[in-house]
Amino acid sequence: MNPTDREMPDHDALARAFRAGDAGAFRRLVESQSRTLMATAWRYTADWETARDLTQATWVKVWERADRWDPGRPFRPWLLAVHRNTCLSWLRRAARRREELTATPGAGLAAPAGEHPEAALGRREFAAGLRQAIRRLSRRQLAVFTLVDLEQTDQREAAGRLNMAAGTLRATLHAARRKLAGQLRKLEVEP
Amino acid sequence: MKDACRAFTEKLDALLAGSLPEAETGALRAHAAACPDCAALLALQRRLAGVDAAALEAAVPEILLDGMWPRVSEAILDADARQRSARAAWNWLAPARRPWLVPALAAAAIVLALATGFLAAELRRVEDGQRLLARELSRQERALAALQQPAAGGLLAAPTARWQAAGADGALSVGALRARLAALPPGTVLLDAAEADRLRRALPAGPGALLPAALGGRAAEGSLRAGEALRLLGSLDPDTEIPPERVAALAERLRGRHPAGPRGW
Repeated sequence: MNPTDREMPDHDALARAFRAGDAGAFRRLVESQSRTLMATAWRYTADWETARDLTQATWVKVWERADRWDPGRPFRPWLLAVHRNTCLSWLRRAARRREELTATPGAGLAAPAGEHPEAALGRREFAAGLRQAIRRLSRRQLAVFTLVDLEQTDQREAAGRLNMAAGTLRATLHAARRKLAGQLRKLEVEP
Repeated sequence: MKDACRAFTEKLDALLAGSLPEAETGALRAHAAACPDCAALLALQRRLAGVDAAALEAAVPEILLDGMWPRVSEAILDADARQRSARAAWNWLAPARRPWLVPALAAAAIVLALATGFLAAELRRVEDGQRLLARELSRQERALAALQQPAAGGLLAAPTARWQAAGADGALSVGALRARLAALPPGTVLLDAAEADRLRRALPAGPGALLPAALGGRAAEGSLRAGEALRLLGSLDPDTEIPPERVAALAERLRGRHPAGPRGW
């Protein structure tokens, strides 16, 4: 698969065909969109195998809930929303299981390849701390933070997706960042 | 939050994007150097914004991507199989496919309700029976306990000792014997046929042999129970003394046959 496959202009048509019962169209969607989904999941997990498992779980959900997608709207945002929920659920579960926080690499927030072992260790500690810290966020703060800071979605687009005024989104984001930075300091985790 | 910290928070994205004038950038960096909270915020945002989306997508391991469709298709097959199984169970039960099912279930429910009612009634009956039995046992235990009190005649108080005492005192009237027999459950077996016969033969006839004669007469027809013995003694004068040697012989006889007293006491 080529990274540019995600630029395929016809994923809406594929999704409509899949929704009409074309399993081949579904396969082409999986093959063309999984790279994006895995990269997104890696931002949450920093572990490619976990990212692969989450992506797989998202595709099963898409298969089961295809009738919930409105063919009149673009498929990709819906797909990413389903995937975000999958990743957020995993993040919440992981945050509850302290042993997993230290056993897995953690949220992937630095360059994944060619990393120095010390840097990797620091990344793991940071990731574990961040997962602990996000438990302090409200639901709204978590939604804004994951969309803007984890997935690097443009703030204006994020406000539209969350049906939120731009100023409200900015204030929520700033509060979430402050809270996270404070928590990381409390946990003595160096960002 | 201090004003400087609020300004730092608001301009953080622009700071990281490098879109601020140089002077403003310098002022913000100076603030971060002096404020641990804002330094942490800056570090956090550097970390979060440090991954380029295109670079990350290019870094996705190809081997994991190649295996994605086989894994997804297998997972979907598993999920489908589970759903089909659940649907099949529902379809089998669906009233449209099983028109007899609703009446059958209704009938089963009625049978179950009736059976439950019947069982409940039976249970109540058994419980009533158990209560009656418990009451009867309690009554008998109370009677037995009373008989074991020396003040109440002590007919059963240490049976062997009681018979020995009867033999030693040598005094036992028909009335006293009747009182003791009356305290026993009427069905209590005093002597079986063979014992009564041996007793009759062991004790000589005569005025002092009233009890043995009575006992012997009954024993010839079978075992003797307390109620029958009481009835047989009813025609005798209660003051009639049973001679000491007869009582002693009776006590000796019963002690030999029943170290713990007559059977059933």
